[in-house]
Parts: sequence; structure tokens; C-alpha cells
Amino acid sequence: MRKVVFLLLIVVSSSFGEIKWYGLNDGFQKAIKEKKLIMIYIYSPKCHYCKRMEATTFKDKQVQEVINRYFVPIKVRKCSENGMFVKEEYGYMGTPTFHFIKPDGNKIKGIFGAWPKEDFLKILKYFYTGAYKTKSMTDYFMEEQ
Amino acid sequence: MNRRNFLKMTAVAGAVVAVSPAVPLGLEAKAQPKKRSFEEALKEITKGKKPVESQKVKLIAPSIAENGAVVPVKVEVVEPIENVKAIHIMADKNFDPWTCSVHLTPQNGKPYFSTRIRLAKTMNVYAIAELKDGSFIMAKKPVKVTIGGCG
Repeated sequence: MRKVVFLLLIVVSSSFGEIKWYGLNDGFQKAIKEKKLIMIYIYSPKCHYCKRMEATTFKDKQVQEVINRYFVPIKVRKCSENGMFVKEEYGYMGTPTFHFIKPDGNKIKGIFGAWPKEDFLKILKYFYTGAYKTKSMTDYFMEEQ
Repeated sequence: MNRRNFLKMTAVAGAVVAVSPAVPLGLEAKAQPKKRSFEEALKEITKGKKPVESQKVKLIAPSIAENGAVVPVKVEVVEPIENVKAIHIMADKNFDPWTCSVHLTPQNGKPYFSTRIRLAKTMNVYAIAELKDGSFIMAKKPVKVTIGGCG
């Protein structure tokens, strides 16, 4: 019995231990099925700020939980075939670029650059609370003191 | 064209090419913004007077700017236009913190203006109102921009 409980604890803790990145096709299928927003992360293995974000912001438990709960995260390498497709379809501002997409494939917004966890959580909140439906991101953050 | 003329023209063309880059470079050097500290810029604006934080200055700027190159800023001073001489915007960690100044007259109608400013990194933005009596009142807001990215 103890072993079962221990194993369950390991499974539960590991499920919140990291961001569950999806491939482009799998991610879109999951988003359609679960009616979730998609967050596409365009990265480059040589990008200093991508590495920095992965070593800090993406390692944060709260960030991981919010992304896994409210979004379908898709990670594409800038120069891969999927990366080229995403760049052509949704645009590209440099690395890292984050595109927030509705499950029907329509783009909500693209964000450029690396962000510390506090700021990234606020940006994620703007999307998952649906605030994007009523106001622009600038207006949303203008109201915040 | 004979050989002598050809050589003369080649020499002249070479001299022009050699000298021409120096001219715009010199102008560019003069046109560069002045690097100064926030305290130095503030002193230049207020002539050494200390601005007082006031609720009368409303500074509206995003707490997180999606693009640091164009951060929208709105300033309103809750005072009659006759009492406000100028509104100054400062960004404390920019190369030159003195971002802009708007000098007002009663013809402006209202002490209000809006613009877009560039922020090199996360920093405080200040709106400083210069009043007719020579005093300065201000408001500040921290604005966060991306840590950075690769092109």
C-alpha cells in the first residue's frame, strides 16, 4: 500500500514538474478537442534569451501549472519545417516569440522576448481570463497600477 | 580623354571617396544624444528644485509594455491650464533620461498630452509638471519591458 501511495505521489508531482510541450499537429488537435488556447513558443538553440527563459521562467512551478492548465503549449524550433510554417502563418519577431492562438487557428496576439516569471504570469493571465476579448493588451496593462 | 586627364580624374574621384565618409561621421558624432544620469537631467529641468509627488499629476502608462520601442504614455495635470507652464517626461534608466518636454499656453485648453516613448529596459517613468509659481509636482510609474530577445 505504501509503495502505491509513493508511486502516486511521484506521478502527481512529476505531472506538475514541467511544461508538457506538444508538437504542432498534436497540439492543434488537442486544442480543438479540449477547446483550449494554444501558446506557440518559437525558439532557437543558439538564442541566449530562450535559454535564460527556459532556465528560469519555465522552471517556475506556478508558470508550469498555469501553462499546463489553461493552454496547449507548442514548442517549435525557428528553422525547423514547423517553425517555418508558424513564422509564415502567424509571423515572427525574433526569438523567443510567443503566439497565442484560438483553438480554431485564429491568432490572438504575438509577444516578443523573454520575460521574468512575474511578468510572464501577468501576460498569461491576460489571455486565459479572456481579457483579450474586450481590450487590447496595452489598455489592459494601462489600467494596472 | 587622354592619359593625363584620366589619371587626374581618377585621383580626384579617389580623394572624394576617401574624404566623404568622414563628413557624415563627424555630423553623426555631434548629433548623438548626451549621456547623463537621472539626477543630472532632473536638475537641468527643475534648476535644482525638488519635485513633490502629487495626486494632481495623473500618469497613465502600461505596467507591462509589449514593445519597449513604443510605450504609450498619457499625462494629465489636475490644475487650470493657466497654472501649468510645462510637462516633462523622464525615464530614469534610459541613455538620456530627459525624454521630452511640452511647454503649454492657455491656448492649449487643458494640461494634458499623450505620446509614445522608448524604454531601453524596465524602469520608472516620471511625469513632472512645472507650475506657474515655479514649483514642480510629479508622478511616477514603473514600466516593465522584455528582458531581451534575439533578432
